[in-house]
Amino acid sequence: MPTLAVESLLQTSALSAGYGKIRVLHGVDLAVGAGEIVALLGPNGAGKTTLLRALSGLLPWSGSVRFAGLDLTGAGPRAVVKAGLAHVIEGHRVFTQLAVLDNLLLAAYDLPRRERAERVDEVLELFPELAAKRHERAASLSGGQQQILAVAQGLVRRPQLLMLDEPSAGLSPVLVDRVLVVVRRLREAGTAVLLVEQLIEKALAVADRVYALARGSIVLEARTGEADLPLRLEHAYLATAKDSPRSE
Amino acid sequence: MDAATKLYQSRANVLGYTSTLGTALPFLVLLLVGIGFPLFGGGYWGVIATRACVYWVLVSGLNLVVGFAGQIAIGWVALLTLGAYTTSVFAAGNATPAFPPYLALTIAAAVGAISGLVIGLPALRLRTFYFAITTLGFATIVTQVALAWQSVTGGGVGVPGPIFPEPFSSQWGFYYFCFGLAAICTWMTANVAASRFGRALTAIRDAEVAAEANGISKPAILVPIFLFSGAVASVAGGLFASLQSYITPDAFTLDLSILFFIAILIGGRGSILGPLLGTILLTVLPELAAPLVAWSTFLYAALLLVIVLAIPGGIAEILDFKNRRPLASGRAIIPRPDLIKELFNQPRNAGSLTLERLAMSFGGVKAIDDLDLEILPGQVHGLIGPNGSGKTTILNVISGYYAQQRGTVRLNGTELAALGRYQRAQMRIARTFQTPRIVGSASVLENVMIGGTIDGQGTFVESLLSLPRHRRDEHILRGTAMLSLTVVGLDRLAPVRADRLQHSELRFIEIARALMLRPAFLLLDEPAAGLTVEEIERLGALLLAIAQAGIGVLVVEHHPDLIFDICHHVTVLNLGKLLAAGTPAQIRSHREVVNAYLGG
Repeated sequence: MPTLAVESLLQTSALSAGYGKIRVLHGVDLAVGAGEIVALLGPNGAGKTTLLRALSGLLPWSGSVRFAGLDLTGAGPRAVVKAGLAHVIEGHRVFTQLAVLDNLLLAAYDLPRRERAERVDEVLELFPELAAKRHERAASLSGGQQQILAVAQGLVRRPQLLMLDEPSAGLSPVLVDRVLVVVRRLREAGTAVLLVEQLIEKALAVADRVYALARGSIVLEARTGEADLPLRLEHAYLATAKDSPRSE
Repeated sequence: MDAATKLYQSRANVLGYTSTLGTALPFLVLLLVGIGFPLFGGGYWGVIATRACVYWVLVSGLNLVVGFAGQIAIGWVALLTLGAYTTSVFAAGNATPAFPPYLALTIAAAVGAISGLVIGLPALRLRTFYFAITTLGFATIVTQVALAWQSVTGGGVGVPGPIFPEPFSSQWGFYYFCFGLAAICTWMTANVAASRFGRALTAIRDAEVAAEANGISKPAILVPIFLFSGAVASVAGGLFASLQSYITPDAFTLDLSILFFIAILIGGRGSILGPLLGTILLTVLPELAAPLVAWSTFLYAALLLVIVLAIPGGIAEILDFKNRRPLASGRAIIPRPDLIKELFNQPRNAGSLTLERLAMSFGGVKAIDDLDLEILPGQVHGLIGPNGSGKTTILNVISGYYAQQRGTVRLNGTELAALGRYQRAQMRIARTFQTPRIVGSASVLENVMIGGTIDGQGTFVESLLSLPRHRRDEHILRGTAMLSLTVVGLDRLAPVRADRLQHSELRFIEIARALMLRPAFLLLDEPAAGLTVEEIERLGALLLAIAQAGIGVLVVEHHPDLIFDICHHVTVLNLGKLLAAGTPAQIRSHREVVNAYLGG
């Protein structure tokens, strides 16, 4: 199928997934190019998180997924991570009983020791508030700091593609901006990012391309530079919430 | 009560009624099979059936402790032993004049209740496996005492079990006696499960912090459960002794204790029917394996393994047909702020909630530093600031999770005790959590009803026996919960298991649960995190309407749009200190706030 991505790092076609007998995704075609930032938007319940979970091997799926030249059919979460796809799940779920540093080391547990230490230092440089608390247990961090830690864990492996599930949830506006600056810097270093976000404007400002997902299908694909994008996005959202005209 | 409230109650009753019929059906089938059992079961199977009934009398009570409250009580055989010896010794007259067996059984129930409490008490301090180990300790102690106290228990030689007089002396007579007691236990525990006590137990199991915020005191709820569970376990012991006709300490093995525990495990947590079927299964299984003689234990273990692997969620999950129907996708949450008035139909005169010179530090790091704050009724107060600036800590101090090192929290002038977690609900201070804390296996409606636990009038015993006050409590709670759910816009999802819902819906469930308290003050911790722009707008309108009903609302948030749209007053924190305070317009243009928090 024709896609706007130049050269696809990740390419899904007719991807379907769900929980047991309940289907959530119905034939999703999505591509992410190398070093590209792609925003995945959509109302709650559209299937964004389900899509990320399917891609990282946490849910069974059907269809086809190619990533970095590999066929991911039947690949479990371990194989997916090894292939270079990292997933930061929503809801700042870090290992609260471990120190901040150990959380980061754990995220890169299969790298050689020297490299692991270097990567962790790099990431700590990006987030001074974590560096200041590196020996404290993650339980002592505030909710927002735990979210930053989760994002940092995703960065440690220096993945080819980083999937971020609502990284802004619970972060102060300045901190959201900083995370997005980091995302931009990742692109310069050649890492692609698939970003699920509810702060639409901020997501559009950082992304190269955008997909809108509604009721388990892609309803819109566009470059973020296009002038009529906000209008088209609104239509894409509205088309899915027909039964909610009563909002004020 | 006005017409609208009545309408919600009748709607809730329709929901309750249809589900009652569906859940009662399997129990009725079992009842009929049990009554008719002598018609098609031979003498040997009669003994097996009687044993299943005796076991269930114990497991039904233990189920409330393990399956509902989530306390890992492995050594419950201690109470079976105790009940068996108490009944036998009093009936035989080893130490006293011989008592009639019924009186001996009653004494055993009383002794069992107290012992159940003693064995259970460590649960208030110890968690999970540590508590499990203490119960095992008790099991060992009871057996050792039975062995050593020869003059009363007969030591290793044992003591004859009681014989119940006509009409219960024959095999089938005794079967019906045990079956009757088992049926009564089923009925009573089902009553508890469907009461505010049962819901409070599941809240302690799955969301202890939220349970306390809703006014549920763990000791107050666990004490009656341990008393009840101990009493029925001891009664089961008395029946067991009579069934065995002669008891020695060897009869009460740890295997038996583990059988009771596994029956609940394979039955499924938070279910009555599941563990009931589990008990029957585990009683019958060894008999099916018996023909293999030497291999029977092996086969029994293998079958058990197959069951556990085949149904990880327990029998209850297989039988839960209702929650396998797909939910509509693309559901929208549409709150009805106009209905708030019906929830708050009595005027409140709350005064204000104030923090004075509050200070609190964790290991030398100042989380809150000399902070003053006043939350007024009828206003939305926004609390913003960089991550780690102490916002959630303030919420935790107000709701009694942390004790401040200095300063006071006052409600309407009276100082609030530090660390009075579950007492805050009584003072009508409700809260929600940064990560929604709900009981995933309970329905949406039951989750919301947890919020009204402290408003029930009936006692535990009234719930046990389903007396009128219990039924009135349930009727009112269900009606209020339905109204609350309608207010937040989730009434259509009332019967659905809460863990099937998406994240944004859970946030609104927490608000509905908090509204059940009819709070004077409502504290919200990042209610808009993870919500879409549209949902945030609706949330804003809802919070404004709540404030207009006279409630003081404190919102910790990061969405500047929401804060500036709905707040009457905004406080900005930085490093635990006040950075700025004022109207949204003043804050929006405050230079330091823009630098430290909002960004350019």
